[in-house]
Parts: sequence; C-alpha cells; structure tokens
Amino acid sequence: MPVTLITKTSPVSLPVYLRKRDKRSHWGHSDDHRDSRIETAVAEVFNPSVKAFSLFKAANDEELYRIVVGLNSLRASLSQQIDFVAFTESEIRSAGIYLSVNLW
Amino acid sequence: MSTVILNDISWSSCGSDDVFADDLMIERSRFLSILRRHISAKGIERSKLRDVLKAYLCFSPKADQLINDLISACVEMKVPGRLDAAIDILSPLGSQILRYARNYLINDIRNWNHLYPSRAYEPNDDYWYILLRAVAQSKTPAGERVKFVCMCKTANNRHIIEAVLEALSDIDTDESYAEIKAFLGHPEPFIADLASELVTNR
Repeated sequence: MPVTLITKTSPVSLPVYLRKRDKRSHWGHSDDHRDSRIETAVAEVFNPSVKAFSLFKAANDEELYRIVVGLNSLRASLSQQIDFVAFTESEIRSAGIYLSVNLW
Repeated sequence: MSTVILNDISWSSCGSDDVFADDLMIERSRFLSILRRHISAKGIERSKLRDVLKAYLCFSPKADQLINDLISACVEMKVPGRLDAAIDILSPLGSQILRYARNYLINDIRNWNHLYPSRAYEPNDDYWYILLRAVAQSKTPAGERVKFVCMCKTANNRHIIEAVLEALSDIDTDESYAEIKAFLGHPEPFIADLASELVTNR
C-alpha cells in the first residue's frame, strides 16, 4: 500500500519534520498513561544526553520518498519499513528547539 | 601439513586453554571495535564494515559469543538505528541465527518459564526485538520462521508481542498474517492497533 504524506499527516499542515523511531512502542500509544509515555519517549527518542537530533523535513510525497530511500540505502534492503513521528514547525518551536539545516 | 602438526604440539604443550581464552578476548575486542565503527560509518564504508562483521560471525569458532556481544552492544549503544543495524548484520546468517535464537529461547524457558515467568525474555525487550526480527528476515524456510516467532506470542509483555507482530509481518506469508490477525482483538489497544495497521498496510 503506497504511503502518502497527506494521508499520514492529515489534517496537520505541511511541511512536517520527521524523526525516525527504532521501535513503534518508543512513542507509546494514546491510551497509555501520559507520564510514563513521556518518560519512554524522552529516553528512547529524545535522549537528553544527546546534544543534536536529526529531523527530516518533508513538504510533499516526493520528499518523503527521498528520505525513505536515503535512510534505507545503508540497509540490507531498500524496501525496509521505517517508522516516523511527525512534528509541525510550530510544535518544534513551542518546545524551544532550534532548527538548523544540514543538507545531505 | 607439517605446520599443522607443529601447531598441534605447541597448543598442547603450553596451556592451550589460556591461549584460546586470550585469542577469544582479542577476537571479541576487535569485533566490537569494528561494530562501533560500523554504527557511526556512512555510505560504502558502512557496507564494507557490515561485510567484515558478517565474516567474523560466519567463520569464528566462537560465533555464538560474538552474536551475543553484537546484540548486547547494539542494545546498550542508545544511538538511532542501532536495532536495525544489528538486524541487518544478523539476518543474512540464515540457519545460523535461527539455531542461535532457538537455543537462546530454550535456555530462557529452562531458566524462567515455570518458576519465575515474570523474568522471562531476559536480558531485555530490545535484545528479543533484534533476535525475532533477524530470524524473521533470514532466508530460512518461512514455516520454520513462523513456528519460532510464534513460540513467543503468548508473552505477557507489550514489547515482546510488538516484536512478534513485526517479525510476522517481516515473514510476509498468508500463514504469518493469519497469526497477526489473531491479535486484532487483543485487549491492549497498542497491540490491537499495531496488528490492524500491519494487516491494512500489507
């Protein structure tokens, strides 16, 4: 089934900033207790001991596909599934995170 | 041939156990050093280092120890992509990783299943996530992979069930998806939603 940025992020406004997850459970579930969910996400996705995080900006499907192919180019198969969590620019700014651009 | 005989004599006459132990320590140290370089490498260098690691695992007489070292190191690293990196190195081992995983599961059941079931699946969830998905992505008969992965499907642990579902999705057969569908009505919403998403995205 083809993945499109619009269907996956709707009704969130584009562009979105994507962070790769190692496991889906690292981001928890909406039914989880909020405090434990935050604790897990901070430890596994935004570890405080790390000074900079890689986020991938995607404004359309082509940019999404480029990110997927780029990340999978170092893997055993180009068709490996990748799980992302998406943020809008305003969400990132409201968290006090500074964005800098680093082109591939 | 004469070299082999001389080597045999030298092993038996100077404490061969110590020599083997030293060799193993050196081999493990080199292996983990290459693994750390692999995790931080990019592009072609990363692929080359992955091939070197695979060669160690194929030819070392202590390959099981190295597999354990690799999984443990990747779990501990806490850098993005570490789980995928371990899976990519281990899955090409085929029947070797399936045999390792079976023995690991047997030991776990032997240790914990009856008396201390809450301590099953040691040392941690990430270790089993790597193990199950590496087996699932290996080029061994699909029926054997489904059988092994399903041995863990009764785990009372969200993270192990997550690994089971992802592994069944990796196997990608009608049989494996029939197993995933059995989780659609799982009482834990995370598991039920994950099963639903995997079935929908097939």
